Amino acid sequence: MKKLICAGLALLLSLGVFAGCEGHVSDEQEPIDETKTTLRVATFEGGVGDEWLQNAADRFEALYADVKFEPDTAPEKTGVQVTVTENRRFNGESMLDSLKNEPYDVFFTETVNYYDHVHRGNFADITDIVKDKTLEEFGEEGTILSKTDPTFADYLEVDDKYYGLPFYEGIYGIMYDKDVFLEEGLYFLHSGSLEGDKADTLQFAAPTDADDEAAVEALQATLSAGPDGKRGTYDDGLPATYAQFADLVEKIRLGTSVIPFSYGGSVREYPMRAMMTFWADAEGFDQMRLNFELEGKATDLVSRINGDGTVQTYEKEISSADAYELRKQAGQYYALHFLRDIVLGDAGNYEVNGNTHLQAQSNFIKGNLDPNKFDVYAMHFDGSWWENEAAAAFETTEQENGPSAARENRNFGFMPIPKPTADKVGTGVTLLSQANSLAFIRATTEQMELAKLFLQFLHTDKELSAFTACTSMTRPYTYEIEEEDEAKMSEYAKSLYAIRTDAKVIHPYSKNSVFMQNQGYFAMDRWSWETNISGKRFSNPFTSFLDNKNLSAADYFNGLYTYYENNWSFT
Amino acid sequence: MKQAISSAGRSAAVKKRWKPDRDLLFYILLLAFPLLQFCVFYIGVNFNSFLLSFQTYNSETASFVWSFGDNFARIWRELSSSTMFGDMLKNSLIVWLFSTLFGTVGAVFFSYYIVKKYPGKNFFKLILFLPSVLPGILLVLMFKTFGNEAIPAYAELLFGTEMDDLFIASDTRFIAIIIYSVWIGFGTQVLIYTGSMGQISPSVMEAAKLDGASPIRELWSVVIPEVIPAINTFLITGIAQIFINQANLWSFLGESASPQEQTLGYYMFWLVNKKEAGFQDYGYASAIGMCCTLIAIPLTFLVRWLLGKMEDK
Repeated sequence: MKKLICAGLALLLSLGVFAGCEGHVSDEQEPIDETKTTLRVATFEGGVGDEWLQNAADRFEALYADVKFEPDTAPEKTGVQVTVTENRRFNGESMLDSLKNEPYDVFFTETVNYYDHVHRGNFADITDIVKDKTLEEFGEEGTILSKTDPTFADYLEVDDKYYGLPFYEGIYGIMYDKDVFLEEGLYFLHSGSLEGDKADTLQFAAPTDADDEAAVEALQATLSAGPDGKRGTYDDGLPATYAQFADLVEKIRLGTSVIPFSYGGSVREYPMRAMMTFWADAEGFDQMRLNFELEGKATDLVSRINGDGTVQTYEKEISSADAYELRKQAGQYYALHFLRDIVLGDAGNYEVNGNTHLQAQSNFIKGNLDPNKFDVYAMHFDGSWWENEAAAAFETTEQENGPSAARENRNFGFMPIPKPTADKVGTGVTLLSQANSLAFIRATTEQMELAKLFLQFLHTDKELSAFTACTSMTRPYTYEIEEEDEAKMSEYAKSLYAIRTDAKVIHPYSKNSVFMQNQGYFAMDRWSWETNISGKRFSNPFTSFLDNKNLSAADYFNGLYTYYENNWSFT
Repeated sequence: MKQAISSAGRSAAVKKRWKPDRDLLFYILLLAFPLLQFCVFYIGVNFNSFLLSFQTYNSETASFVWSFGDNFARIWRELSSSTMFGDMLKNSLIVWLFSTLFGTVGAVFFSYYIVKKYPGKNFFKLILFLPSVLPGILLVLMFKTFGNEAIPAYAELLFGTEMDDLFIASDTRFIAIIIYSVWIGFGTQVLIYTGSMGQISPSVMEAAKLDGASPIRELWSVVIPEVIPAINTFLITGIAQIFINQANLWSFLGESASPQEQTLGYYMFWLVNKKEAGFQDYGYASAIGMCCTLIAIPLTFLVRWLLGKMEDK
């Protein structure tokens, strides 16, 4: 008997052998309607959420309510039921070996190593709906390809075929509370001329009651031009240059009880990635693209950093053999200077307002609702998806504070990127998307045609507009927001869409052979911020400046070149 | 007749050959799965790592290609241009020093305290065994919340001083992680040492008491010599831990541990597990592992030899 028990226990313990094996259980909650053809859609449980997909699925079901999708195999079925399942396990990396056996047909997810999946045969060939078929069935003339970001589309093309479509744009940056800016008088006033609005210091507006619509409207007519150099646009009254931004931070710190910046303690890479947006904007589209193309003429490589923080630059033709020269790009220095000297400063302009990104978002949201109880933050480091991700926090604050605290009634914005120097004001906006998210169809799906039809449907202008209205996020396609959707959008969504429409967005891909063969290396963080300062390695400027108070932006910047030159092995 | 006997004998022999050996069957069943597990997850994995250290990943074709010296050349470039590996080795040694050496001393004392049934033994038992029965990530969460929320709150309440969260401030982060490593290291050691100490004959302890030995003398002269083989086992196996212990940095800090606080174990784990890592650094991480093995093998034998010599004395 003892032996039997021992053997049983040994057998039980040995089941650990199978720990690495994965089952494929459907996580869907919705009961299946046997009278309709079922299309199973899976999405990653993250900032984008699944509400947009649920809404789109409802519209798709209504559109095809009377159509038979399986006339030969299941003639009794009419219409389609689209089930939407959200789970954190639906990310590209963890599904690499299991995707073919998943029960879902269509996926919207992130962290996808596209070429790994394509070479494993995980993704269905969707060339026909991307390149060949127009969206005529939905009343549009062009193809999906015609509205897709060309760099992204080029990257997705493998031997003249497409296996995936871009999902969402993830742009890191600084979010700001517009009500705090109004109530604390943090907007800049117009100087009298557009040229004057580029000055290092401008007068601040008087505090304005954010609930007084007439006063707010009157104020807007008096504000400075902002980084785009034009009045009457989305960025009026906001800092046009780094010098103005420094002035703003000083005013918040010394003239108010508000904390200038906040960030989540466990996402200390967010401020670093936000600085990549600043770097991209300071460089401009073509120069920033060199970091992925690895071939071309670099026009603003730093030869010397002057005592006053200005830089002297030179031009150089670079190739993949010496692309480490790009670590002398002036835009990267400017971003480091902004982070070190303006965001962090020496006086403590920042605060960790929560351990996780969700806690930090929640504290950012509720701060201004009850300043006597909570710390109030003017700005917060996060990604463009933050408002949608904070949906639960908005619901909580609405329950506690009433309808005025509802997401659609709050007044947040995506901070337009200030320019490093006054001469760059009005030169256009460049943003960088760091999302790596894709939509695709499982290669082994039995509902291939229906899945393709659904994917086409989701890429019509109407659905792209609905996506932005629902999620306050954007997708890398050319589309406009429809009037009825605009009415539903929050202030934050409008501000993000406005800056997005004004900008050229860089997607971190290229077809350069060195880039293609080493995509893991050229993933943005690694090919950007590794530095070697007198033999010491640092890899995140934000944490490095936090932990080493004597470290300067110039030290960090100079170390970048040292590191990449020493470690470059590409030809 | 002879033929009939011979036929019966053959039949008996056949029957004898086919009779299952129940002990052997039990033995095979008992070892089959553990051996399979050993083959797959130890021999297979390590052999694959060995091969990977001579390969790099081509992300365009999604395949590993042979590139014999590339990964080792990359290690050499890092070694010759920065103190990164030196810093990581230093951190690994600090963690090892605290969790293995100091942890062992502490575990021996706690075990002795528990075995002697001194006041509060059950409390110590609970606190020290807790890490062994609760999931690691739960403990990390608990400890992190304690360090980030409770400690600064107590500091303000009791001393009126403002204190940064332990796991946010750079000057306290690594210390807090070391304390955690020492704490979670106690569980297994205390379990083994209390078991060994329980085996000591009560008459030996009684004799020491009659001879007037103090508790410290009893621990030093009677108890420790009895449990020294178990202590040595922990010390010897701890050598390999120097190179693979990631000190729970991943659980505490995720991807964002700075190079100055990383251990070698964390760095290798980070290389293959960071977001969007793909397979790009598998070869490099394997090559680092190979180098660590080359150091760990002779070091382990040396420590084993030294401890053996000391045990003999």
